[in-house]
Amino acid sequence: MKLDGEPIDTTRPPSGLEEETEGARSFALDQMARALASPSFRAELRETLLGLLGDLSTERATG
Amino acid sequence: MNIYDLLRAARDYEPPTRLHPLVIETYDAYDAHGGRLPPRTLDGLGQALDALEAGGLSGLIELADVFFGLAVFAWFLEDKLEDALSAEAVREFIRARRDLYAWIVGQLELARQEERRLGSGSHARLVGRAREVQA
Repeated sequence: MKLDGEPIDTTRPPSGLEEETEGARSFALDQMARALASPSFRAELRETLLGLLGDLSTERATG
Repeated sequence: MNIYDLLRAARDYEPPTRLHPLVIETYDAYDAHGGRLPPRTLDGLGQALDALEAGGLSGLIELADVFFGLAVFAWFLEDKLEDALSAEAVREFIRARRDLYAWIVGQLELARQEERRLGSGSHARLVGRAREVQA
């Protein structure tokens, strides 16, 4: 699944610092939050979920 | 919860723009266990989702928010952390809720059939009908 639309910062936080763990957590949560906030990505997620939950069309699932 | 409220909620539903706290907790557990999802983490998440399922319409809406968050988490695990195994575990966790989803879709279909039967399809008539059913 690819993100499109707004650019996503894929720069990892600097390593070797005491705050590395917290930095990695912030990075991960930020990446997921940015993805979720992307309208085009949310549309892809919707299709992904429908695929996981059953062979049901978006039309049928949401009216 | 009546099927008309469910239909309206389904039509009005917008995917979340923020991660649900349960998804953040799941990520934290994954991270705390060195990049793996222990069964007890998923068991705990399952119990939390059971509580949401039992929470009426607002619980179901929140449940949908969690599903979206978990789908993002699965994407992050696979595409960013290259942990396909954990990503599949999350997807399998979502798949395990198919029965609930099928039930919701069935309820929506019932509501739509009733909407067609009433003719106009106007929400006002549906709300009126819902009140009759509840009375």
